[in-house]
Amino acid sequence: MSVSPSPRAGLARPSPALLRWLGALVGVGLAAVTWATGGAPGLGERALYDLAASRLLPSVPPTADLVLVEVDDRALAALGERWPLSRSTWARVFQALAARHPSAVVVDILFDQPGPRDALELGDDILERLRATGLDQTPAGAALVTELETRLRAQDGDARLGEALSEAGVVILGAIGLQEPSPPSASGDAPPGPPLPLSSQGLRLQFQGMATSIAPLRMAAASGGTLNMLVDPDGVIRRYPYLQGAKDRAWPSLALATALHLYPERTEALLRAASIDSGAPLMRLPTVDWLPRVSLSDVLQADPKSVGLDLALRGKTLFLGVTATGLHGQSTLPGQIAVPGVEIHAFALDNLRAGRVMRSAGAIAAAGLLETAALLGLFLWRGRRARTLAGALGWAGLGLVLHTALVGWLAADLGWVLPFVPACVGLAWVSCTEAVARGEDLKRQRGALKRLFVRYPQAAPETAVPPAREDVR
Amino acid sequence: MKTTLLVGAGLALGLFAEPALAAPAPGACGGLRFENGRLETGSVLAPRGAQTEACLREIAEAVKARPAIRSITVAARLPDAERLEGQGLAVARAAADVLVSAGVPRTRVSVVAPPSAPDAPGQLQLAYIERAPLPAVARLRAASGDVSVGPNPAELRPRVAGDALYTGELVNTAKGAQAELALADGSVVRVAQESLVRLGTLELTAQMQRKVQLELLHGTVETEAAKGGVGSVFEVRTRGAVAGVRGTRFRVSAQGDGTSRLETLEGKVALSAERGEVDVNGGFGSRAKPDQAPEAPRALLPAPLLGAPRGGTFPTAPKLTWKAVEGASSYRVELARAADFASGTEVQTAPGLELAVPPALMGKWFWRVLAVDADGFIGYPSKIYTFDVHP
Repeated sequence: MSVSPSPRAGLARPSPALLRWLGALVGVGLAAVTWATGGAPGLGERALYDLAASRLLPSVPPTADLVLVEVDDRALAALGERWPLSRSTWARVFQALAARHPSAVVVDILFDQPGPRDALELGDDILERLRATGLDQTPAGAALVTELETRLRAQDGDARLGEALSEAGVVILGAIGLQEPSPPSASGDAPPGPPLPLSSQGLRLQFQGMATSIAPLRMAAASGGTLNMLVDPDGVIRRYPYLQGAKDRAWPSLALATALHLYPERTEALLRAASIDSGAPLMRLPTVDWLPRVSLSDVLQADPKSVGLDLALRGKTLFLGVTATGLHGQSTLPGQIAVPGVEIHAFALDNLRAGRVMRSAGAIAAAGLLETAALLGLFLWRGRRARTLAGALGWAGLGLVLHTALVGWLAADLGWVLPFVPACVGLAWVSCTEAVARGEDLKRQRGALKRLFVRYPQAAPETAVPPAREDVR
Repeated sequence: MKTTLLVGAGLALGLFAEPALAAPAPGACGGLRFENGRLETGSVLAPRGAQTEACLREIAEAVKARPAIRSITVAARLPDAERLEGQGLAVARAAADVLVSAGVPRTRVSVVAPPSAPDAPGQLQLAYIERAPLPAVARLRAASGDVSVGPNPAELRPRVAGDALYTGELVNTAKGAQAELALADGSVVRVAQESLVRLGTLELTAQMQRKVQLELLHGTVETEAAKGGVGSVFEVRTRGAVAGVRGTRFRVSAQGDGTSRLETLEGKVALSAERGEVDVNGGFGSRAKPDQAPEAPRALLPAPLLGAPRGGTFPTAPKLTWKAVEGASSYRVELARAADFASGTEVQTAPGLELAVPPALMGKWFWRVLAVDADGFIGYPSKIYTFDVHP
């Protein structure tokens, strides 16, 4: 009878030392992957980052000079209009806001198509006929022409909105980056405002085209920025794209455009901060209801002499956006769901001007890689020399504590987000290998002692019976 | 799906695509460009002055020549010292008055005075709103030879592959030219040489229903109609009679004497004339002469079996040979640079079973042969082979 060899007999079992090094390499490899993919939070640590960012890191302190003017359900009910609001209504809104002398009005709304012009064209035709037939030369005809011109002027919502934007002088309009070339339209594909003196190479968010507000509104506005967000594959927004690339140029986001408008003397510093992490740094998060809110219905219906509303809006940066049910974007931030997009632009502005943005790519990710390598190398060195398994695991625990403290401190105080999970994975792997190796060593030593005992059997001292002496008998 | 070839029924097509807003010759403005809603002048437009007034008058003429432009906004971008307290608006209004006096309706001109960048010189800027452009109904996927497109025969302009085509436009192919159009519904129309086709309506609904109308003024088109939902209509109309087509792949020819010829390669085609209608299944053809009912369907000639060459490189242009097809009176030999025969195709007619390739053809060529019967009905294409001419 022949005995077939076990299929595993031919495989050499890797040595414990090799497994330890493999564990360390896995940790370092994960940190390297995090570095190569743009920094933390990397593979498998997004949920942990969200928990830390929303619960453990200090939140953004409240600010008094940013206000959300929301087109909410109450405002729509008060206006008696369905969405989208007419351009004439928007003109009224901007006139009402301008009357409160804000420092800026940031608009999270796109006016990318002209308003309806059918009535205007009909009026134009009638005017033309009146003139062609000479009726405008009669007293009644002339009066009719004058009245018609006045009413047509009032009906031209786009022109009135342009005038309102121009009169306000502080309105910053939004635009939307497109992943395909812009379709031909009245809004065109020219991004708002001038491009920034920065390269678009390497920016995280790149576009092929741009949908902007129609040209007369763009021309009347003070500035403009893009509304796009950088959404991670799990649907959560952790980074804000201050800089976005389109047509080989770098263009500002709405928050950056606002900051440049408000603080022109700090342009260089703002652009430097916006360029962190390829133009899209991680955001520090505010608490829920961080942004003071004013309903648009209050703005439109308040007494022009209202002191309360004046206090709420005068000199403030107003973010105008939609929060009405079913109309606002359902963005998700770490620890917060269904956040209107306009609020995220406000958070981002506050992060940027206060220098609170966090960085995790480039040199920080490289530092994370070195820290992971150093930690695992230290553990490989000290853990192996520990006399007992408990000692080795103690070194692992100490490494974990030090790593957690360092990562937490850097994130909270300096805003550097190092990869956390790779070092933990490496430590766990090496610790497990250490435990298994030491257990097998112990088992081997026991077996050797047992074999030794069988070969040279000896009774225990307390049970030993002295050999009988022949000469006693 | 129903596709209809209508011969002789004129199409009422009133909508024409606006031509691209081209740059006029430099004048008082140093050149004018209508770009993305902005009216760009060649030189900075000063807030006031004779030069500005002349430029505004030039702008007014350019605006009047473009009826799609529905409103003009004049912006006076001035330093704050010159802008505040209504001074900026007054400058913009003065500019608007020039436009109005030059013939732009007052109701279409508005003025604004937005803040300018620090240290920037004062200037006038103009923006416009135009009527929404018509959606493109087709794209010129491939073109070889002289392919031109325009709203009417007098305004045909050369076009190249990739250009968008709009409702009402005429597509013309000169002798030796051909074009392949990709319609918005996914259908493909190949326009043979010396053909003139007008793009009629193309409507798509949410239920995948579509209505496509083409008018073949003369020449031949081969159509691969994409699948449409229930009730979809694909119509090709010609001049002399009325014919209807239901099918997925067919050729339509409009002859000079008013005869319409139809060859159905796949699917089912209904050829309708004033005096009757006939269904033509795949593999059959029919024709409708003026004031006559369509003829009974006749079988299309099968694909010829090619002889030589079936590949290989030749120092001089080779002779092409093929086997005879019963009923063929001549053969149409097509040579193309690409295997899809979409562009750069040379078409030759051979009465016999061989053809000497013109010596001017060098490099790699794909070739195929189609049998043609005595009445001009073209049969199925043969297999495609290649040859390479390298002296």
